[in-house]
Amino acid sequence: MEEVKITLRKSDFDRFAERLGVNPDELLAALKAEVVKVGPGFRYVVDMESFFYFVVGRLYAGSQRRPEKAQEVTAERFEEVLNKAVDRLAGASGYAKLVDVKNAVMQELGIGEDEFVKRLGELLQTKRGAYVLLEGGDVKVQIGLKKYGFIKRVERRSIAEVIHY
Amino acid sequence: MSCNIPRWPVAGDGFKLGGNTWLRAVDSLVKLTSAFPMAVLLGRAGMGKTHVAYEVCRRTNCIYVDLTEVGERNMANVVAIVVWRLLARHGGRDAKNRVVEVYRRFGYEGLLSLARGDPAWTLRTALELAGTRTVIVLDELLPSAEDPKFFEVAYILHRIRNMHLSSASFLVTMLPEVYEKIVERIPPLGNFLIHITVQLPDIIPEEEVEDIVSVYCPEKTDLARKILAEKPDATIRELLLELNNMPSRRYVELVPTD
Repeated sequence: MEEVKITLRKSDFDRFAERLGVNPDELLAALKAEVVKVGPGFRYVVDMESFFYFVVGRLYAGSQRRPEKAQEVTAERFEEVLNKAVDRLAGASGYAKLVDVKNAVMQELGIGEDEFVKRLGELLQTKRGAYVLLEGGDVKVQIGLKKYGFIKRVERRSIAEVIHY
Repeated sequence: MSCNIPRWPVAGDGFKLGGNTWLRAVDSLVKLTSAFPMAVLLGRAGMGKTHVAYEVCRRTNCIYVDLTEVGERNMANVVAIVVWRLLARHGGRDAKNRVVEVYRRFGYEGLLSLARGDPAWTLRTALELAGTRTVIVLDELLPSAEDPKFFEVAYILHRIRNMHLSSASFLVTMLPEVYEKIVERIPPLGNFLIHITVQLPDIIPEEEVEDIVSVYCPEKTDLARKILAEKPDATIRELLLELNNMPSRRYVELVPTD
């Protein structure tokens, strides 16, 4: 393959990685990117060959894994897995990072991001009041019209959690 | 009975606090602030954090500071404004205190410069004027988890923790997003916050709608219950706006008039 290189601004790359919900460092390592200082900022230089192998490898791995599981995910199963993920990932205030939950659920069920967002949107519609979503946070996921950073499960008729000392 | 539902979506201290859970939160916070140098009030946006803080203030000897008024949020500004409020309250003509002297000579700039040099000493000396325990509410200190100055401002909490003031207690209000970020990213702060935190409910408990709404308008409790049944995750702010017939809108279309 010819020597072709892609140059990316660091900030653009980080934003792109954030939108994908992946760790920029891991992606950089997978792409075998080099860091080059240009003027006041940094650029990542990715070799076309590594890029090509990475993308094709991912596509191939994706097409291998999909067909077996994708069919059998029912709404109940999605809810169950989501609830478990939220409970497991919840922090001190009971809220879990939505991105972490998304990744956990996607991995467990073998579904893609679009599918996750669609399923969660539907679940929020049918089980209104069962979940509370927060708009703040460093990394967000778009559900419907808004972007959210955190999710919490609310058991109906719960009385407040006042933490006594 | 007349209806007096707030029209502006920000807590005001003229209103009574309703709802058992919220009153219990106030009790817990009064206890916490009487025992520890710091306490945290945790709650979603629009769930009554500021209102609860006002109520705590009413029951204690208290200084309420809304940090959106302070300008840059740094240690010196926070200390200077608290000291100034203490002086305004206790620094009469016969008050004898080093900080009072500085204020008489150099004004607010003098306090600010003292606070910049030695915030702990300045605060401790000014607190001597009060005589009793003082609760200092820091509202809106960290209004968002995406705050570009997040870590610098969170560091203020760290310094307050280490000041170990014996006659004062800081009550800090926080969003859950902010709290989670502190717990995750600043463990020395997060680990001890867990022990001094009071969390407000994330949704309005059905059995408390009546208490909350009847503070403002007893006739509309049924309507409130209906709204909540339809939208169970509504915040108190949304509920009150809805009761006022001002549903929270995404935008208002401006139509030119001829």
